[in-house]
Amino acid sequence: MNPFADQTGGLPPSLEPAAPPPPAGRRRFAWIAAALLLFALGLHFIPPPTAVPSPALSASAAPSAPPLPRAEPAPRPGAPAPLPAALPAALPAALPAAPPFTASPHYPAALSVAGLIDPATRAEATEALMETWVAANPAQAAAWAASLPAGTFRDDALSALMFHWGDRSPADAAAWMARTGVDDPEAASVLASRWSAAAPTLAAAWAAALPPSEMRLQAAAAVAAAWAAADPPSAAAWAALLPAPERAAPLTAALAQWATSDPPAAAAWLALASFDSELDRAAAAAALITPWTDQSPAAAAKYLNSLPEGPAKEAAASQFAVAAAATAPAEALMWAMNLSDPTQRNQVVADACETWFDRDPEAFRGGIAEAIGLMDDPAMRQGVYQMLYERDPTFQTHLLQLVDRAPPADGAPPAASPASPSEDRPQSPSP
Amino acid sequence: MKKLLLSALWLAPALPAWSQTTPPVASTGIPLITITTPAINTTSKLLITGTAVDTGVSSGSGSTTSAAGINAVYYQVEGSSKWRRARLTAKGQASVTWIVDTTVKTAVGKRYYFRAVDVSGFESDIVGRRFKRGS
Repeated sequence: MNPFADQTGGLPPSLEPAAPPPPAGRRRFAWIAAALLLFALGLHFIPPPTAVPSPALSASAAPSAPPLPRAEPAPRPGAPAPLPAALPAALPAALPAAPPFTASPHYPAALSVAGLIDPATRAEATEALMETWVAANPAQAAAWAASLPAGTFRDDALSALMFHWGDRSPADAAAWMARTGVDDPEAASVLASRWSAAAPTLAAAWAAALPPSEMRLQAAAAVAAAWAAADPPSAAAWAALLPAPERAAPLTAALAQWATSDPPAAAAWLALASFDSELDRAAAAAALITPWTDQSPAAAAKYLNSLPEGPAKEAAASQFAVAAAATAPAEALMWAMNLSDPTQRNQVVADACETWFDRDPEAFRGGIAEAIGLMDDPAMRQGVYQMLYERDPTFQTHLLQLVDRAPPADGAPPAASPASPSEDRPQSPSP
Repeated sequence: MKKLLLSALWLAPALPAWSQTTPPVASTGIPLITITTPAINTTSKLLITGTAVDTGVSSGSGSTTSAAGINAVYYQVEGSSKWRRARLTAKGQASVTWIVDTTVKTAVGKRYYFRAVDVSGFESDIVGRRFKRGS
C-alpha cells in the first residue's frame, strides 16, 4: 500500500498534477515539435567558432566582472588541452618564439619589398634582397620566404631563394626543402637548374629521389636542360632512362638545349628516342626546330622535308614557320599555309605574320599584300587583319581596301573582330 | 503546436552549411594544365611548352563522361592584361601540348600565366611561372 496515498487512493497534494494531462498522442506531438524547434534554433544561433583570445590580452582588456561559470565540454580525443584561465609564470617561455628572420638586419628591407605594389618592380627587389640575404644567412632568408602567404610574391621569393642558394650550397637548399616540406615546383625547377649546372649527377640523383609529384617532374626537366648545356648526350641518355610517364618533359628539355649547339645531332637522337606517344615526340620535334631555324633556316627546312608525315612533322613545321618568318618570311608562310589542320594553319599564319611584322615592319608592309592574296580562307586573312589591328590599324585599313575591297573605315573596328571574350575576359592571376 | 513544427521545418533549409551532411564530391571536369619548360634558361630566346589534359566530368556516383578535348590554351605576360593564344600541337584531343615563343632577356625575367579551356568551355586553374635567364 502506498503510504502517501490518501483515503481516496490519490497522490499527496504536492505530487498532484496542476491540470488534467492532455491525451498521450497530443503530448508526444508537442514534445517532438518542441525538440525540433529547439534543435533548429540552437543550430541557427550557435556562433561560429572563433579564435581563443590570448589569456594575456584578455587579462588586460577584461572587465572586472568574473565570467559566469559553465560546464566545460569533454575534450575530443586528440584535441589540444584547453588553455588555463590564468598563465603560470613559466608559460611565456614555452610559447612559440618569434620567427627567426625578424631579428635579421635584412628584415626591414624585406618589409619594404613586401610593400611594393607593382609585381615586376617587386620581383626585381625580391631578387636583390634574396641575393644579399642568402649570402649572409640562407636559413633566415628561407624561413622568411616560406612564411609568405601563397601567391606570386611567395613564388618569386622562393624562386630567388633557390637561385642563389642553389649557386652557393644546393645540397643545403635541397635538405631545407625536404625538412620543411615546401612543395613548390617552380622553386624545385630553379634549384635543379642551378645544381645541375655545377654537379649534374648529384642534381639528377636528388631529382630522382623526390617523391612522385609535379615537383619531381619539374626538377627532372630542369636537370636535363642544364645538364644538356654542358654535356648533351649524357643529359639525353639520363632523361631517356626515366620512367615512361615522366620521360617526355626531360627528354624534350634536353633535346631543345642540345639543338642550340648541335641541331643535327639532336635530331638524330630524336629519331632514335622512345616516346610514350606521337604527341610527346611532336613536342620534342617542335622544341628542337626553333633553335635550328634560328641558326640555319635552310638546314632546318631540309630536316623538315626529311620527316615522315604525321604529328611530329606538323608540330615542327608550325614552329619552323613562326621562327623562320623573321628571316625567310616567304618560305615560312608557305609552310604555314600547307599545314593540314585548318585552325592550326590559320593561327600559325597569323603568328608568322606577327613575327615578320615585329622583325621588319617595312618589309612586311611591302610584301604582305602579295602573300595575303594567296590566302583563300577568309578566316586565315582575318587572323592577319586582327594581328595588324593591334599593331598598325592604319595599314590594316589600307590592306583591307587593297586586298578585300573593303569600304573605307571611319574609325570603326576592323572587319576582323577583336579578340574573343574568352581572351579578353577580366581574369587576373593571384597577386 | 503544429505551427511550431512547421516553423522548425521552415528553418531547416537555412541552417549553416557546416551543420549539414556534406554531399559526395564530384569532379568539376576542369582541364589540368602543366608547364614543362624549366624556369631557368641559358638563351634569350625561349620556347615555353606544357601540356593540357581534359579530365572529363565525373558524377558523384563515380561514372565519368568522356573528355571533350582541349580547345585552347591562353597565356598572359606579367604587366599585360591581355590573354593571348598559345599554339597547340594538336587540337580537340583530351591531351595536348602547347607552345609559346618568347624571349627572356634579364636575370629577373618575366612571369607568365597560363590557362586551358576545353571544348565544353570548362577552364583550368591559372598556373604561373617566372622564366629567368641564367648562365
